[in-house]
Amino acid sequence: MGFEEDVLKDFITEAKENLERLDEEFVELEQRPEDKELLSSIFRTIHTIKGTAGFFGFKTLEAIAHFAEDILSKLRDGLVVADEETIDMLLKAVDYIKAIIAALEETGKEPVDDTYLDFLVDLRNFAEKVAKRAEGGGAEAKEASPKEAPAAEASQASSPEEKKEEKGTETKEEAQAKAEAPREESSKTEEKTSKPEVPKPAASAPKKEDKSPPQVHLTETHVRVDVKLLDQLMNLAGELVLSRNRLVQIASRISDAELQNATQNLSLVTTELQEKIMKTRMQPIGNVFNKFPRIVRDLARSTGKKVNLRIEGADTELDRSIIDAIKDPLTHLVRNSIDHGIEDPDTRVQVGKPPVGTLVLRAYHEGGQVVIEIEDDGRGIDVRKIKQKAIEKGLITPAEAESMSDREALALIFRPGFSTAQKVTNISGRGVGMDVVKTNVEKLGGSIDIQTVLGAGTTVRLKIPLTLAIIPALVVTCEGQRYAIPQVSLRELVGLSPETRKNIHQIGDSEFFRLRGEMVPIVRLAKILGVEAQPRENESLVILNSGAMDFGLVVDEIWDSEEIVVKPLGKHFKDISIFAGATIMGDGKMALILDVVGISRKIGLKVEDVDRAKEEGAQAAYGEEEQQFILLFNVSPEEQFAIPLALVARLDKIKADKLEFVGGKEIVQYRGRSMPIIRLENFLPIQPLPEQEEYHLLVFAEGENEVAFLVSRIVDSIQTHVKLDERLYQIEGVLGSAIVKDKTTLFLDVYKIIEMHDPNFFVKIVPQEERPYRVLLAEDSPFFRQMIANYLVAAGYEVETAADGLEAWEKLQKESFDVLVTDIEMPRMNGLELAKKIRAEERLADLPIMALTSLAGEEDRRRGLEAGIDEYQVKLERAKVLEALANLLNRKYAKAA
Amino acid sequence: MKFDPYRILGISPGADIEEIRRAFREKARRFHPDRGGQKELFLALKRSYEILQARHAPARLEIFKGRPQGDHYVLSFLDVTAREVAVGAAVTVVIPDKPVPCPHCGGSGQNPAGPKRRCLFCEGEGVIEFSGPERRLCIVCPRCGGKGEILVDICPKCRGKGELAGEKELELSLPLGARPGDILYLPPGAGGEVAVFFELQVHPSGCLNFEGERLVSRVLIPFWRFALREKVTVETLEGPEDLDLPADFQPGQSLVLSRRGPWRADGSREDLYVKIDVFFPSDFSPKARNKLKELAEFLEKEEKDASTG
Repeated sequence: MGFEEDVLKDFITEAKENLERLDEEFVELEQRPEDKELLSSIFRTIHTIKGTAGFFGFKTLEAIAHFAEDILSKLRDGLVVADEETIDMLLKAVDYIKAIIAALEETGKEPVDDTYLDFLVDLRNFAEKVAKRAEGGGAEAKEASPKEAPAAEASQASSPEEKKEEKGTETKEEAQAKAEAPREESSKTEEKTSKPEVPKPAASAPKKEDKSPPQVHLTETHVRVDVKLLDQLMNLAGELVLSRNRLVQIASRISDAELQNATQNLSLVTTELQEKIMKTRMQPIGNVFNKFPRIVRDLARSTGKKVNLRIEGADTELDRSIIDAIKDPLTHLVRNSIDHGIEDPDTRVQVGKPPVGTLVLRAYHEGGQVVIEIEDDGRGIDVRKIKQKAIEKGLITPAEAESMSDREALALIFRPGFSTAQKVTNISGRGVGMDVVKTNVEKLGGSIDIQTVLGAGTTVRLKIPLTLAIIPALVVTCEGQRYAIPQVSLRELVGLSPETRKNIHQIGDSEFFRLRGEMVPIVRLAKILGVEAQPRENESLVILNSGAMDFGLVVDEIWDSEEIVVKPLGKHFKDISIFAGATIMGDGKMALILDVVGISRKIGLKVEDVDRAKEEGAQAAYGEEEQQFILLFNVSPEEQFAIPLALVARLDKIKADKLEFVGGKEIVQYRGRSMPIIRLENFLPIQPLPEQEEYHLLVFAEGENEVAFLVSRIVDSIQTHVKLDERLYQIEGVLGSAIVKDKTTLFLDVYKIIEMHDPNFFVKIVPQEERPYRVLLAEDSPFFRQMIANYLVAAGYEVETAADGLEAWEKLQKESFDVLVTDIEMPRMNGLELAKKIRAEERLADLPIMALTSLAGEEDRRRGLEAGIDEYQVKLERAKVLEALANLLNRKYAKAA
Repeated sequence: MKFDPYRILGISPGADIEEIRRAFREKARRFHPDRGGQKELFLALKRSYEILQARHAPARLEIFKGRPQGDHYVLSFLDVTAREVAVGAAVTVVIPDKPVPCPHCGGSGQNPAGPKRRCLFCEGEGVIEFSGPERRLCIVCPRCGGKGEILVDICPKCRGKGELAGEKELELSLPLGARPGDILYLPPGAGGEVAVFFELQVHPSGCLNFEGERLVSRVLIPFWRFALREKVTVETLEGPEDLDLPADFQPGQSLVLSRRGPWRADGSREDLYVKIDVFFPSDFSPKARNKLKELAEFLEKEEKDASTG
């Protein structure tokens, strides 16, 4: 119902406006009763009301308007002269119409009241009278008298039908007869006496004067304003914004509190004013969308296709000028979809689709832009055919076609003079289409993108700015000049310091910036502008989105964010694709507006390159330090635990009845052997494992020995950067806590727990008999530090820890150790520096050094050896580390002995 | 915030019409302006109730004047027969429903049958291995989920969306008074998610068809039966019926069956028009031809006699 209410509202608004005008015109009519133009205007207005009333089915309103129109037509044609009586009658009719409109506005229904019908009879009689008068005065034949009622239909000639028709319109005839009766009786004098019979329609109080029909005051809620006026207002608002910007800048220079206050206030009001004016220019895109049902129906019929049209988001608002401008491109795209996209019903059935095709027109707001999608489920675009066609048309060479990606091939559609249709039809035209569509969309500052799947359909996506006139922009500088970048294209800003510059990678000829694991191509603004760039310490990177992809623009400085008024560039500059326009800055100077899409095109970034970089970026992320694969699990549902996945030998499930309690030990039959079970609640202050039918086993192995943790559920295995908090839980068997997947998670010390369960589980591989070897462990990550220390202790070493290279160095000065185990990447002093320092000191020159990393590469190993590191191992590979450590010690001390 | 009628009435979104009615009555009593309630709140309650009422109203097709519009809607069409339109028969309409997960890709949006690319994360192994001398530990590759490959193409069925537009069928009566080319309107809520406009596409049912606004039953008879004004059997909305041809009935004329035509919206009926088409066989057997000639000669003679006499 909401929809009809809307239409009704429009109708009422329009009718009210018209009625106001009618009042004035009637007054004029009394002065100039024979003014043809005036009469025509009144006639037209009444005619419009009649038409719309008929459309809604408001019978009384329609009938009153009909008879009024009847009378007016006689006046207009000069058959009778508008005397006071006639004008009176017409004014009365207008008053009744007003009363009905008022009722419609209130209740949505016509008032049910006899006074209206009574008046209708009066009016009809009067109309008949006028018609009679017209006949008498004019030379018209009697047959020509327009007596038909509003709903009268043309009758047909054939005789038997006529018989029937007469029967069918019997009621009408009767009504007419009834209406005629009083007319026949009434002489002119009688007519006069019957006139003051004042009807009392509607609830609104009519004036109690003689000859006064209901006076209804219609409150105006809408006015019509010339669009030109709105455009002028918009321009003025633009100028005001510029002046405001300037004033704000001056005010910030002169630090005067009063002036600051005043400018701030002005600034606020200006912004609001501009927004409100912008709103007056906003129109729902439905104004365009709602034309398509008709177009789609006609097209479907003429092509013999069956199409369902789906409209989504017709209320989405856009600037009026943009709506006008996208009408034609949209129509073209819709025509294309039906003509080239959707198959005829037989073909669709053959390929297993429903016979009826679907066309979706969708509009929605997305980040200050409006996205319009035209989506069909037709045959899609055949990239091979496009290439073939492009070769035929001489747009590309066969060799180019060969090396062209699908996306590039699709872009050929937008080349001038391209049409994919096998035969040119009268619908999609003659290949003047898509290039013009693209040009038009880009002229609006928008972009166009095609996604297609052969055999499944095509989606064309337009991104259009909400408005063109005033846009928020980021002002940047390059070699002393300022440039504005439309905020809609902006994704984020990165300051380039020596630290962040590490994320710049050279791949091929292009530079890429690693932004949270994503590889973004970057380009220097100075290079694009072709200016000589001075090397600088601190630059900024502006990450932009050009529609198809993101890229980074290196600029000297980021100046400010400002509302700018877009001024078009002169025609001499229109071929410079990197500029979208110009604007006047707060200080009165000019700045050029950068065209983000133009720049991305100019640098000619290939999507394939970007994809490759992204792939490499993903691999790089894998090799990154401190990224940990961890296994998350529950014992009781409330508590979450984590262990490094690498420590787990196997994951398995067992039924509860497989658990046995033998000789004071809980064991499980596993792979033909008895494996001891560790219930974590026996060693840690945690909630116990609930009774379950089935449990998960985390199996750990050490040589021949195997042991398993019994847990209730495996939550997940994830790769994450572990930031361990050691202070919160200082419990044996717990390394620390961290938030993982929004839950506080305890990181368990597997080795410690196993040792608590069975001190003899780990084979002691301590080579020296008298005393355990002393190990100095330098590791900055508390997580690894504890874990490694624990497995070393479990293996029988005595371990001293240091949080970085420097601390290790200090400890080495005070105490003596048999071996140094060190991480490479550490703050203050890294492992390589530490090793070099050690080798440089005579006393320590022979100290065995073993380096541990997350993943060892050949390059690292080489650099480590150069620095004097004896062994290289991966942290998590406990067994390997222990074996290598034992070998290293054997080697060193056997040699010494 | 979006206008949420359920929230305003203080009921859960699954509430049935009885619950909605109860909530509205109770709240309306409490917040009625006559009892000192806030007018805005009362209006919001009323609006909420109206919205939900409309949503729970049984689905009914309406004849729609004007051109389809609204924020969301679907323009579809309805293939029906002339008879169905004339009598306001129940027909099956297909309307959009909530989207369903794509059966082809299972909602992933990726084409399971399409080309694959080796997962560079696990180098196609599907697992990432941390090996030692005594044991091998494998974990499932978190990037490709253990498949070792990454699907390259988006699902052709849903085109990467992971879901398909749902459909459902409704059994609805055609509104009385609808005519070919009319647009029927199914309000949102009543049956489906969005408003649906149906363009009526009327096909002939047997000899019955709409010609313009009129329902016409056409009969084809040979010329001799027409000449003899014999009874003809015509198809009407009530079934076949024998009709007498009036003695002065001429080709091109129609018979009118008063109030036997399609129903109007107000329950009354229009007329049914019967058109008689005459056919003239082109080859006769020699015997028939002779008889026909004989008859023609006889009739011509009679005519001449009548004019001379």
